Amino acid sequence: MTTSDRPTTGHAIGRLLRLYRRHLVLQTGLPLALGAGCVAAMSWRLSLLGVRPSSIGGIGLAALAALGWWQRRALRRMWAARVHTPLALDRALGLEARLLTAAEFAERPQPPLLYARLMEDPALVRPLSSMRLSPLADRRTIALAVALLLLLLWPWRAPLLQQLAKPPTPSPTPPPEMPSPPPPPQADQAQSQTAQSQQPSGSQQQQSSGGSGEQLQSPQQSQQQKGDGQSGGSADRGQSPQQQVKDAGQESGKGQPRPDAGRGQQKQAGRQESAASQQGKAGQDNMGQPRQDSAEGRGQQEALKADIQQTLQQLSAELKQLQTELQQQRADQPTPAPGTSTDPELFEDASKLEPAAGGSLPIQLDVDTQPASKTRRGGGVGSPSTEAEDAPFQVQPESAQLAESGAEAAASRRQAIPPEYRPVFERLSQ
Amino acid sequence: MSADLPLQPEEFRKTFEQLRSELATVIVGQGDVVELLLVAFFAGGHVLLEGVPGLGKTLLAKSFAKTLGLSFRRLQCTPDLMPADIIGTELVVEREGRKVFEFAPGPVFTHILLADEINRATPKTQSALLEAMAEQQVTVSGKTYQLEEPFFVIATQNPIEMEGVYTLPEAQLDRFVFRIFVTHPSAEELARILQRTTVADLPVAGPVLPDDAAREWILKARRLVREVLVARPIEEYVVKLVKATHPDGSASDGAARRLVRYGASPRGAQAIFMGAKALALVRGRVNVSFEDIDRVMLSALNHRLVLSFEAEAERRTATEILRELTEPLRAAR
Repeated sequence: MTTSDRPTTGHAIGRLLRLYRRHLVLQTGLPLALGAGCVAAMSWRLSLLGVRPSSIGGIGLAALAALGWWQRRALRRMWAARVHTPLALDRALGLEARLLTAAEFAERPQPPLLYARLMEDPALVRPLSSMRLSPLADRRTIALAVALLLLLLWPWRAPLLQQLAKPPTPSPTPPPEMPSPPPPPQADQAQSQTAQSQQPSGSQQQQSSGGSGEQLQSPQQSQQQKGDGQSGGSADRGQSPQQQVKDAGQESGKGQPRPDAGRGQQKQAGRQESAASQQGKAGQDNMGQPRQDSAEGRGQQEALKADIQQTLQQLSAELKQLQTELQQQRADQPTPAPGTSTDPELFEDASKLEPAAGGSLPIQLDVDTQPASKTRRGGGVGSPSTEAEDAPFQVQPESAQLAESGAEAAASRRQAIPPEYRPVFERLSQ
Repeated sequence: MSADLPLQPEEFRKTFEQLRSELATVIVGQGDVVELLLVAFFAGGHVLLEGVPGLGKTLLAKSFAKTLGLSFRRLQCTPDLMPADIIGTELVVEREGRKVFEFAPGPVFTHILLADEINRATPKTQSALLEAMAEQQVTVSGKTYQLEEPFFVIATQNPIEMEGVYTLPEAQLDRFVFRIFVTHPSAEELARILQRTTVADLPVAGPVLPDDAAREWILKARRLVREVLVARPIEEYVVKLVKATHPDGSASDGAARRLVRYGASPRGAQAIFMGAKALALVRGRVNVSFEDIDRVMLSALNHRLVLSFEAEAERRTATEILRELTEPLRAAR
């Protein structure tokens, strides 16, 4: 940006100062606004992830404080420039208080004699005429803008944003299911703990289906969840706690390959069509078509709900049975001795040591079986040795010996009365 | 508007540079001393040169008077110098058959007065200069005599304490716009001094201003200096600097309370202001900058502080203390 006017008048200087002031405010305010936007977007993300509001507030405040600290120099500069704009510009251009003086005396009705000379000073006019304001967006501002965009648009574990980013799919047909790897053992434990809280019924058909959180869902439920996700975030909020647990599992397992359907899938294959039709309805709702609250639809939903509950009961019963079997297997195994290996394929049986003799070890260990208070050889409780007291006194000769008489010259006494006047004083004292 | 100016700033600057270069033909090195001396002269103040003997203080004063083309008197201060020896006295003279008192002006009636070794004069004699320096007038037998402008006192003093030396009172010190320390020359400068002063043809400074027009020109230059523009923030900066030297002021910190007994007077602020104005013209500006203030601040204030017993016990100088006290202000401006 180049200032077009030649600042030879007070009016032009005033306009220039206003321009610079506005530029400084924008230059400082833009990164701050972007930073605040980033903080807000981050808070929103955290709220979607289920972080407590108090934690979000704390994190937001800390982030705002960090932002303020990061921009403290710019803020200080902006504040100083707002208070003393000519001074700030003067320093920025190295004008040696020329602009400061010109701006001050321009407002006076009767300018002093040298004011005209100051306004004609090439050292003032030339830098102001060719002044270029720095671009509003520097690298930090651009980085903040990119960060804000990422926080707003990146599909980072947020189903709502995923769905917002995707165009709505009108086709009600479910996507083909994908195989998934077997779940990790920790997930099994979590699954079994979750299953303990359910009613015991059903079989083991859902054991191998799903990842960390998806193992509780049937394929139809998965499809249903996808359909709900497409219908917007309000649908998620209206679900029951069990459904929300399933949602979380679905979110965490999203993108992973699906497991084989197994027996549970075979049993519930007949329900897929109804679930797919349900999803299709939800998809149609999402597209903005008027909702048809027919009795038939409600009946289907009730049937689906009952189906899900039944499946969950079966699943929990299977899990309980599996847990019982696992505990029985563990009880049957002999408890290994302490210090020995529990893996017979990796280590041999540990050789047992005899407590006192040391066994076949090359070093014989002497075991002190006496009580701790007993006096032991070379230490412990006892009276001090009299060796030092009994030894005869012995003088070691030294290489340097002290002289018998002092080597220093005798200090001369201060004579209060000079010697030549002493007879006079003696005579006076007599 | 520029036509109403007493002197064009460019002409002032050009003449100033000529004076400086002419003095440089006689005085080797001491560029800062010469500049501050000229600045103090055009600011309308008086200067106290302080330095050990043999550094060219007297030569500088004499050469200075010669280059300006003004009248010059030298006053060698001794303990038996009397006030009448400086300002003059009334003599009984016979005029037209009658005996009348007639005023015989002393050496103070000149344009440039060199008071050499001023601290060897008694306080009574030193005080005789007070009125002359502050008000440019002297009073003898109840009659006031005006001194002709420009009146400029260059006093020199020896910092080495000796017997028969009377330290200048604070009121006297306050009359000097600057106290300038004349330091030892560097080895290179010393070699050049030897080359110049031990040959048959000794360099002599010539007059830069013509004798008949010198006085008028200098008065115009002094008026021009007073016209130099000072912005309000710079004015506030000077006030803060002076207030920072006051031990009981709100702007002072612990260091001022500990090290300073009495701070700089308003004359100190005036000295900074006028010196900075003259320096701004020398540097080609018609406005005072913060750098001008910083340049003259130490010379304008270092003789106006009365140090505390603690500062004297720690052997701290006024210049050191001033630097310490004003450093936060300079950093924050």
